Amino acid sequence: MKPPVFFDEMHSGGGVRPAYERYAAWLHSVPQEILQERHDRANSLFRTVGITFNVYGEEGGVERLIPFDIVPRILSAEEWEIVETGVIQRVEALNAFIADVYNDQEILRSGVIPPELVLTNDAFRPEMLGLKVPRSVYAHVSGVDIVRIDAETFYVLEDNARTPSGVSYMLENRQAMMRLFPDLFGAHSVAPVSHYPELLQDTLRAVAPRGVDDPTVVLLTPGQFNSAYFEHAFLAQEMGIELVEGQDLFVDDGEVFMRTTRGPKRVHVIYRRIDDDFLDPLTFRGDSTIGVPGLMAACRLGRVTVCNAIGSGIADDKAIYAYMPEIIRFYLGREPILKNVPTYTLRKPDDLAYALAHLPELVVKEVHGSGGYGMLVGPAATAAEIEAFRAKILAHPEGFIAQPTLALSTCPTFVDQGIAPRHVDLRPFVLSGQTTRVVPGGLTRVAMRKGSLVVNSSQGGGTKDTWVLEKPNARARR
Amino acid sequence: MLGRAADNLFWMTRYVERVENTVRLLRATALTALLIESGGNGADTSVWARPLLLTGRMDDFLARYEQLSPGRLMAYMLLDRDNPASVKSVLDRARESARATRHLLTTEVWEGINATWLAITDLHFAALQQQGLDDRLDWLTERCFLFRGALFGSMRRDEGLLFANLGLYLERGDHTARFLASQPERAAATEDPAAKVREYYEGTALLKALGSYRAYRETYSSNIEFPRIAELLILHGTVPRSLRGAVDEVVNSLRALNPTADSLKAAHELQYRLQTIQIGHVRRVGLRAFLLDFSKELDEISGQIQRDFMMVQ
Repeated sequence: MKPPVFFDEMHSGGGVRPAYERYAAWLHSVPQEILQERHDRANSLFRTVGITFNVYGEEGGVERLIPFDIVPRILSAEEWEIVETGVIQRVEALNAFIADVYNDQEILRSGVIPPELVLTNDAFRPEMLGLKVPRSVYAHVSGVDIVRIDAETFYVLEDNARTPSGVSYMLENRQAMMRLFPDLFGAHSVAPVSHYPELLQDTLRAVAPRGVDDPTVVLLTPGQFNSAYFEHAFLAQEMGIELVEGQDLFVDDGEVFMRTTRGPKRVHVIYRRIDDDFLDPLTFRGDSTIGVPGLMAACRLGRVTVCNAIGSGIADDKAIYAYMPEIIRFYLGREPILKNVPTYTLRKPDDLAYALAHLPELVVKEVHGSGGYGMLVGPAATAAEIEAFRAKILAHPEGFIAQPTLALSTCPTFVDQGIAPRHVDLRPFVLSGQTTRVVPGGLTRVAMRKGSLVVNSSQGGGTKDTWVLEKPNARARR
Repeated sequence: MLGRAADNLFWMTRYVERVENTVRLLRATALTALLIESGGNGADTSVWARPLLLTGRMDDFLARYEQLSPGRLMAYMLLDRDNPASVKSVLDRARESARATRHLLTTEVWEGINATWLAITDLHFAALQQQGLDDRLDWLTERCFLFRGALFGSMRRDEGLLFANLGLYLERGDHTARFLASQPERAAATEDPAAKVREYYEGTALLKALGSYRAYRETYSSNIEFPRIAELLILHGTVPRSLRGAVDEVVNSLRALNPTADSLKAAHELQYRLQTIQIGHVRRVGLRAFLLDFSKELDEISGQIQRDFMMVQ
């Protein structure tokens, strides 16, 4: 079998692609030992800073370092413009969709989306029906996962409208790169990302309950054993807000308070990094010990804003994903800028039959799965793995979707053997408050294993700094 | 600030202080043992039992090892995670408290404590011996100084720092009191020259363990004598590791936090007693009883701080 040809971010199209010109010249002139030395320094830097994530399923919750690659992923201003306008369009449509399904439900009545797909969905929260949220924004922070297959074509792989993580890596990766390679930043005009926490702060303040001029914003974390705890602490610190756990908050007479050294203090906006299910034991899972009893009621009274809103997960459900192009057309009246990956919804008999016949070519995902757990990458799987997965699908077809295996672009990456191509994706972080904005770049995830298409950190994926090159004189625009 | 965050800052400094105190205790023990051996008493191992008695780990130690040896004691007190009083265990908890309030710490404080933890967390005793036990103990002491330097040099002077200060000095006062109380009973002043030499060496080790040798020399122009050591470490507020010095710091921090707190009232009473009492009184009550009483009162103040500020019911 002929090995497939992948689009390479640095080299495709005969020669070095323009955005990489200067960088490639530098990379080819620099000795391997220097790269190795910088690579080691990066590791010790991340370890001291404590940028670790906890791995589930290992005894005691082991702290691991996420592999960081010293070769940046570079996008030209023109390429970024496609991504930027595309993700903003997509998130605006997502927010319109969530507001609609919890209020007028026009999209269901018009038959664009089968109502049962929404109304019987686990991510749909009837508790949110009829509730007006500030500025009609539900997904205040979204992460849109994008892959590229050639010079012009970007696909959205999935939307994350619940509690997307990874933004701290975007920020810390840039910090590390600037320390390790100051000269390269002198030679390139890289759009800055470090103001993200300020934009996030603006976003959260902009959605405070009505009549609150100077809101108290807090970040609600499941605690220090959560896999993304470092990020929670990092963002709280950068924004200068309290990092609270469920036990620090309580609801009294429909208002939310935190327990401070000077007694109770009112809280107006909660940037929560806890899933809906665990947020309020009186409304959702009663066994949750990390939530705040009565939070849903306070929310319904409009005394507190929860970001992202409860129930926003309905927008990033993998079954809804297939309808995203329709959703964009329905609310915005425009054609989608970014493509959707063709998706087979296995609850449909035709799609199921097709998928079962083509498992070795497809990627099959659980509808509610995330983090790269519980998925089948057909071309990389053994016959036995495929058969095992077939049984899982047959037992519960509505729990799965299937997609063609995409030829994810590659980017040069520093590995044990030197510089070699590895597959990458991109997650820009989109903020919706008064307006919808995105900092230039995002988190580039890279599959560190040769040939692997799975970029999730829980599956051995690493990260890269993402450089968006500025057009001359672009700084004034920001 | 959040009550829970205050609690974590309080314990973070408390645990780092405990690390330093444990290291000092082990150094003093090693030094004393050396002096006793060179004094011709050879196989006296009772001095090695002191760190275990002081930390209440004797029974656990004996349940696991039949015999007390210097190497085993060091391994157990420095790097054994099954011993909650070991340097490694205490450092784990210090770092955990720091990590829980990571967002309130400056980079210097967090990275300092994290780097110390990283150097110890996977360290085994054989490797430690290879690196040189004395050098490593010195290094640990330095890291604790560095931690305090970063803390007081880089953190904003607000509530958080006051809670950190409370943890530090409550732990320090408690340690000094219990350390002094753990000393063997000494006979009254003696004229026996051999006993005087021994008093000099043991007294020196004790003062060094509490970082107060120089303070003693500067305060008294006399020889090293146990009654004076007690006086210095109990009543002299200018000595950083004295009981009086610790209580003064606790009072100042609490006053800045809330002048009407119950914990301040209790600390005030303790301070008043130390200001007015004389060492003769202490000796009449019995030094050990006095010290253990003091330690208990610090404990009560610590509990009252929880109720006053951390919304603990």
